[in-house]
Amino acid sequence: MKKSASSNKRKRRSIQKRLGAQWVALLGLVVATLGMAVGFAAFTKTLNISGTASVEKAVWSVRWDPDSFYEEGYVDTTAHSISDSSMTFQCTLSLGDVCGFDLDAINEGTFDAKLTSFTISGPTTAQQQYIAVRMFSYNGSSNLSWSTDGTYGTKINYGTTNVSSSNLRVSKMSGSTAGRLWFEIDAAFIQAENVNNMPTTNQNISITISFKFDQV
Amino acid sequence: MGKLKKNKKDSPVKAFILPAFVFAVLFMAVGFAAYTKTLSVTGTTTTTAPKPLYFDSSSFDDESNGGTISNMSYTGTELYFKCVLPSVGKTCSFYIEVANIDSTDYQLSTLTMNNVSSTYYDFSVTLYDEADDVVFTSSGATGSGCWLYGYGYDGYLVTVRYKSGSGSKTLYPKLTLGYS
Repeated sequence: MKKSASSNKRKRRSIQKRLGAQWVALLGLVVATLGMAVGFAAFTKTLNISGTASVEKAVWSVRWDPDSFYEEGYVDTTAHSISDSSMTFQCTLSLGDVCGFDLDAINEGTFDAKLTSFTISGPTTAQQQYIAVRMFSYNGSSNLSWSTDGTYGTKINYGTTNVSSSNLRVSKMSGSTAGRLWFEIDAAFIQAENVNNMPTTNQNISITISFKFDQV
Repeated sequence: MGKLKKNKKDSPVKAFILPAFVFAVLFMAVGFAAYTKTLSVTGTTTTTAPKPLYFDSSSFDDESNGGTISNMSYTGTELYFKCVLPSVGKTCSFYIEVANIDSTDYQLSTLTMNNVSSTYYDFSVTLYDEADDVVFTSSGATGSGCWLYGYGYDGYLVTVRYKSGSGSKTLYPKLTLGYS
């Protein structure tokens, strides 16, 4: 009996010893795991790339360029004024005289533009018989010309003339260079086909030409 | 019991999507419409009334034979031009009309050709009017009837011929018509 009791005591002690070792091992593993976690956490690095993308605003800007004005030299048109969207001139004509000038429309916007139509108005039906409007245009690759008396280019009537969509584009701003459409505009005092329509007194005749540009 | 009708008010298409589309389309239309620009040119031309009778430059038609005409200029019923005749027998010749923009009838009373020596050159001016052809030459006029009716035209054929001499000659003839 005595032997058996001491044997049990040894067994119990042995078990207690093993349990203690397991706890130590478990604790060690926990510590090691935490340590490694902290260690790995320390070896984390975040690298950033930051950029600012600027998107330029859309601009629609087609206007007359006053610096491009050039008098053609037939009859004085120095009495003129030019703003962004309008130009006015004045000249005095005797029969056979022509007054004319060059003027560019420029495109400083972010869209291509095109001349879609123009309208000539002002002269009365009688005056239209002896006042001719002649226009030339060139955008660097295409040129078109029109005249109410058929002297140059396409013969047109007073009123609105549509321009083919494939012609006379005005390029958008490229770097510091604006797109450009050159015009020469002439007014001529011509012989009317019917002499009844010729003026027997001096006439002041207002001529307005409106050029319509659209976004391409 | 009929079929249960669907409550249209519950349709999200009508309630939200359609108005949103309409708004979007209108917004885009306004946006696109903004990209149009009209540039204008306005001119005031003062036309000086011509004299009632004047040479109509648009009717000029060169009919020279060997000669060269240039520097044509007109002042009412006066006409100047430069004529180069390279050799004997060559001519400077042109057709031109005189317009009458008055209702009054006028009669040609004088015709003068200056700066053309009849020793070396023949000149002739043939007037075509509605009644007759009248020829004025360096040796005198023939024919009769020289009326230029109101709102009418008279046509003239002007010819200068190199008659005698040597070498090329340059002339500056001046033709003046007198109407009364």
